[in-house]
Amino acid sequence: MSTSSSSSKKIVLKSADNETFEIDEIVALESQAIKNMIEDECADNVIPLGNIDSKTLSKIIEYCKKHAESPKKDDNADIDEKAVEDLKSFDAEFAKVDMPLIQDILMAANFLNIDNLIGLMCRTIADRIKGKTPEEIRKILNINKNDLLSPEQEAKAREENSWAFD
Amino acid sequence: MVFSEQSLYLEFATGDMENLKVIKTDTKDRISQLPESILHHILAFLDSPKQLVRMSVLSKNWFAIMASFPILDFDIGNFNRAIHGCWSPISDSIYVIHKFFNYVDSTTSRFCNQNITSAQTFTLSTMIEKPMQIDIVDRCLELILMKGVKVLKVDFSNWAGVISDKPLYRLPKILLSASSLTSLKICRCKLPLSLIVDVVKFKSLKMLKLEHVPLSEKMIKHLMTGCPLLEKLTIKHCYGFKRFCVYGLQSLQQVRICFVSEVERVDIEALNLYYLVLNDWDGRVAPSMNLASCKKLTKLSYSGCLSSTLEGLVDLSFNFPFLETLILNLPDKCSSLKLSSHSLKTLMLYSECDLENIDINTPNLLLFGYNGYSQLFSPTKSISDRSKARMEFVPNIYVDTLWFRCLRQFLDKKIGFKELKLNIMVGTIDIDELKVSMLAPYELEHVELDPDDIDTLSEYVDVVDALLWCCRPWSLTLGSHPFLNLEKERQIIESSLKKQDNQTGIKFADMEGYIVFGGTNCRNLRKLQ
Repeated sequence: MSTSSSSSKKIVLKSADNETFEIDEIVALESQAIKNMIEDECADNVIPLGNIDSKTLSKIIEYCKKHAESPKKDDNADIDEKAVEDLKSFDAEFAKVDMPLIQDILMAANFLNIDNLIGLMCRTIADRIKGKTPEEIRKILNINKNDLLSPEQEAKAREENSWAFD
Repeated sequence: MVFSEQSLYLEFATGDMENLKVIKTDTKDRISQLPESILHHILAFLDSPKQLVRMSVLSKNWFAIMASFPILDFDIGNFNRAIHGCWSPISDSIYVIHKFFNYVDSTTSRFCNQNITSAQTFTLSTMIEKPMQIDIVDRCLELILMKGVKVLKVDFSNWAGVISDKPLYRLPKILLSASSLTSLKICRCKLPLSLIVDVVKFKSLKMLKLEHVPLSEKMIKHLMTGCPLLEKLTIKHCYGFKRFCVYGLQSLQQVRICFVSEVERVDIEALNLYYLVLNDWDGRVAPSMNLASCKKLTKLSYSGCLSSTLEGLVDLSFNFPFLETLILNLPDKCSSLKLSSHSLKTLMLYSECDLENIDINTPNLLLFGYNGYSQLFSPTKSISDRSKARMEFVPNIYVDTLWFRCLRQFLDKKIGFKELKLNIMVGTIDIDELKVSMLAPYELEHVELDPDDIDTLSEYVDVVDALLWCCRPWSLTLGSHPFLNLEKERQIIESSLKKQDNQTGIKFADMEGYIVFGGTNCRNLRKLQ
């Protein structure tokens, strides 16, 4: 998978399963980590991302492309309301994936340091937890049984704020 | 909140991916493997205390994550809602208040006992019923201030709407040495007594909001001296002082003051102040203002009754020589409005003041918005790219024959407008009565008319007729209406094009003008000649 636009500088990302993605530099710069690498001139032509699989990486590139294209909010000029709305609905659609993929994207976004995407994934996880019981949340987050509090600890914690478990 | 993970980045930069791979393949609970800051980020999106408490029993990891969550937000209204599952009046539910303070106490102490993160935000919004609860508030504030909290909000306003005769809570002395604070909001409580003797050390404070706080002039002086980096200051319904003076705050950019009537004088000397908001609902005696040294002050918003205060605003060139944007919100019917300013570019007036009583001398004005309603509407476009002076009128009365006559007279005041937008409710218009007057229509480049509350073709034709009696635009855009169809729109256009000026005999159609119906995409465009 690659994007093509004639003149701009290209960056090649390589996923854990050795798939390569050629993207515009401007898209890659959405990642603060890649931006730092480029600025410090320690990026080779191909940037290996040994901990991100191709499925996750292509999702992340999809996100970065869309956000790189959209006008940035930080300047004082009039923000195009339509563009903001458009980005919002893109984000909402983007987040409609299963929990394992959300976790993968979040880990990768954290690794690549893409602030907006971290925020989006965190909010998505929070939205799926809202209004659920601890038992349901454990399932959603796939919490390891070995990590549970001891029955005594948990009873004490529940007792302290019993109103939250009614 | 800034979330960064230095260690991961270092591994990334050095190409050492081993650890991360191991983490990913070893366990399915990958979320718990994420850095604490990310997990706190997830928690920040959970706004119910119930949900947060539930997170703490998920696992050992989440228990620790909850303990170090640096955002402590305690709002008794929110808490009450969480307990009852929906909004319900808390009245004097001792049970809820008691549980609330227990929750505040235990969560704050748990957080302050851990040594991983320093405090980011502490918000306490509640009422106090018992002396024991004062002790809890004291203890929590002291703990959290020692923990280097950055954003602090303490609000004892009577959220249930009950006026309390209990004495105000006084904040602990340690507050004044909180050099980590960047934002401080306090409502209905007293500042520490030692304020006028101790040195205030708000070295990082950028945002300060005081609401219903007793303040003396001396306290204001000490407080302001203690926050050299202050950017945004809000003083709302504070009392106990006659003069409000702020000098030498180089970083101050925005000031918002809601007066109580006893204030007599406002002096602000701040090189970088650009936005000032004054709310003067009491308005018995207007404070005198000295702001002329604020060379960057370009935006002023004034809301209040039309008292003598406004006289202080008449000659804006004197008190606000650099003003570009003025927002006036005058809910009472004011008899007349006079303004004069050479720098003013945008004037937004929210008032029922009659057009004939508005006198503005503003040679550089680019946008005049006149709205009979309070602040619901904002100008359609920013004036940054505007070169032609424009008026936008949204009166909240039914416009009639007299109104159009007033509009015609207002146009004659030679303010130099080129464009007009009217969003009007149509009342009774007697075209023949209008035509008695021999005034020539005022020439404009473009007019937009959006009439409301009409449901017949003839009413629509009448309002266009009245408009064209008032002014002769080069182009006219008419608002679409549910009762209109293509044929009716055509009839309105044909009838309008035949209109002619009594005096000169020039028809609309004789000009280079055109009429178009908005929303129907030019299908009824008629361009003549």
